[in-house]
Amino acid sequence: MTQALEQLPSLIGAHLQLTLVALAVALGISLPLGVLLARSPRLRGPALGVAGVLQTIPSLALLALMVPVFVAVHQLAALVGLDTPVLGFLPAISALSLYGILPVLRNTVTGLSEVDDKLVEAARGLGMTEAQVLAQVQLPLAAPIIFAGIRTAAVWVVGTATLATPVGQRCLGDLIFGGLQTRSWDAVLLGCVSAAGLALVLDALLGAMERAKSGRIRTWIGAIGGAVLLATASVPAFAGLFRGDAPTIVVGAKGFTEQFILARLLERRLEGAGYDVRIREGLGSTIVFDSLGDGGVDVYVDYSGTIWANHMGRTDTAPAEQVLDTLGRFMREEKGSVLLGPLGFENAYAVAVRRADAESHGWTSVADLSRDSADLTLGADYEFFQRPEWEALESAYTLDFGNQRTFDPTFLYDAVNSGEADAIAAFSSDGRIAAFDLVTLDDPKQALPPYDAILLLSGDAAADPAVTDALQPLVNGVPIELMREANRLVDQEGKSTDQAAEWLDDAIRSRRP
Amino acid sequence: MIELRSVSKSWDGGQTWSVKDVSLTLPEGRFLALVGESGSGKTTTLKLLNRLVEPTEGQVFVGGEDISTVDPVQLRRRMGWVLQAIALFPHWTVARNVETVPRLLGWETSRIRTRVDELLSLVGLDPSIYRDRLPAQLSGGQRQRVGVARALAAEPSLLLMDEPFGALDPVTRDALQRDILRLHAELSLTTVMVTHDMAEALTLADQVAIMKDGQLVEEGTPRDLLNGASHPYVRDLLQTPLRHAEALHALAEAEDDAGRAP
Repeated sequence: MTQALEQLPSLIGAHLQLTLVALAVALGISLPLGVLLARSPRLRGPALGVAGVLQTIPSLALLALMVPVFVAVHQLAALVGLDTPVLGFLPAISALSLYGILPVLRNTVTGLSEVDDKLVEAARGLGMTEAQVLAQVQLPLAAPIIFAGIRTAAVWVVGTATLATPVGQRCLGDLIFGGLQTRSWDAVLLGCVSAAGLALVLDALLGAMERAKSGRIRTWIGAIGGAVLLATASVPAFAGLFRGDAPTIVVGAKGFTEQFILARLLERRLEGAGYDVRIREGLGSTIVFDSLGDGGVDVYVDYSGTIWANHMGRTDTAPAEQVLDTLGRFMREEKGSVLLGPLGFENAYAVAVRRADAESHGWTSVADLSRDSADLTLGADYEFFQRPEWEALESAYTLDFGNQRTFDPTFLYDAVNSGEADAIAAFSSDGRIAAFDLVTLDDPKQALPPYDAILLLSGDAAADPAVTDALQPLVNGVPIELMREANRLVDQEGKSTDQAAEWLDDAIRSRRP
Repeated sequence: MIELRSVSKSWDGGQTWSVKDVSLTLPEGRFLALVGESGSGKTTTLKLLNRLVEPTEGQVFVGGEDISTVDPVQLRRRMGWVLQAIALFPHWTVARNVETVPRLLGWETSRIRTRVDELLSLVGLDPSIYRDRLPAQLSGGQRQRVGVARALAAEPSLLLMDEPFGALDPVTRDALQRDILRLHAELSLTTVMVTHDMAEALTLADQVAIMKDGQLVEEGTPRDLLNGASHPYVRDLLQTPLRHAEALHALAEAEDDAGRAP
């Protein structure tokens, strides 16, 4: 909770910043467009249709789709020597702005077309120019409806901005996503309540401006409210001022406990070497890989099997050593990045079952499951059933599960523990395997590729000897027992990821005399 | 002052005509009533004068100038414009409504303030009471008075009115009609009024033009028309006010007789 509370002011600031900029962009696009559409009924249908379709794209998907778009932008910009970011603010703003456009656009068009034609004719007949008719008559009369649209957009954008975490933008979603993964329900609650509170405050402020009797009172409310919001939104920027001007390194992390802990371990080591470290965590697996070096992430921990199967498209398996060699070459040649080395533990997919079941059915390897699989439910995370490993596993052992269910990684272990699933595609380094007394089954045919944790550096970061010196001691320095224990501290004992990282850091140091 | 030369207007490329071949001359200082039923083209003709409608054929001259060569916005600011729907801007106070055109013309604030009070007094509204009210707080008659004040704000020499009394009750209508006549004379206006009420046209205007199906069927002074309109349609239109007048006259005489009886 303390960790969450400490982050709260700067997360609220970042969240507000995101919301205000996205709203400003949405207004900047939808108000003029609304005016244009109110004047040309022929364009109105198609344009409102497109905006409506954008609205139906699930917000999380819209945000994630922005990353490949900005990777493409980055590659184009690189041709003219520009370095544009791929993660964080820009993709988040783009998606949120698109999301905020529809309500404002629709209400602007409706509001303007509901202004009495007689009044517009009167204004013209008295000698107003088209611009004056718009500014003095149409917009003021449509203002209540337009305002209602802006309020809707504000509430939507505040809510949707919590989903910016997976594209690497700091926001209140960090508390929610992180809390879900580390089972810190208080952090989840804090994130939700803060986001809801922010939405209420923004809505109340806009409502007060709308109800203000005179233009002057409205201006005052707007000015004071705006100043408070801007001050809050610039908290992260001020925090940056006091940070001094040490070089900044961005550490990436995917969205689960082990990654959160490892990111903080890397942070401790890099800060020790005098760097400013920014952690971008909760990133999608593909997003973090794509943004390594491309203006997004400087260093993160991935798993050899993930890159082998997902990014190199390999369906075969090979011994761990050979996989590491191939990956190192692939990263250097295809990505211009560097595989510094393995951390020394593996976090592979492993099929885990309840110990009691394993003993009563005599299951020791995945092969034993095939005869019973029709009566069993297999649980896995969101991506597993789409991954080539699953195909390999399925065909190697002729598995045909009666039911396949996807769970959030947070709840996967609870699912098998409570009987919602009979077997799960667990992560071998997870502390809950021991905590819930689960058994992992052998994979004699080596259908599942090795998943060694590996330290990946962008080309730029790897070119800095101080960075590699700071991280080199971690290579082969994190044995599985330590990682499992660190994970367990968070998942079972409710410790914060900072505390777990500190424990892990100390444990690693004391291993090496 | 105003001249229409064979003006026609079609909205569908010449298949039907809302105004067909209308020629009309109105000298300065005169009061013209355009009379006709709905769809006769009278309102379209009025809008041809301030370019809210552009003619398909023909030319319109105002003050000797072909108005197709004048910027419509500048043209309209020189003319007063009163609508049947009154169409005060509901988000503005009475004063702000009246100020519309002077503000567009960029008058100085002090001049605008004086002018607003002057105009409200002129149309019979006490400025200290009505200046800061919103249109929604006024009666129909008061609103149209503000509408007239708004039209006259920038001291136009030409006043265009589209059924200005249409939405008013008879008592209010009568009072406002008398005020309009007074203002027309006092301010030496040239006035064009559209109406479907022949009696109103005859009592207010000094020149009456009757339109039917887009065409000008007859034109003349009220006296000329009453003394012998040539067009059967115009004679029909004149019957109603004449019958009313005769009935009232007969009633008055009967009462005189009754009064004289011992």
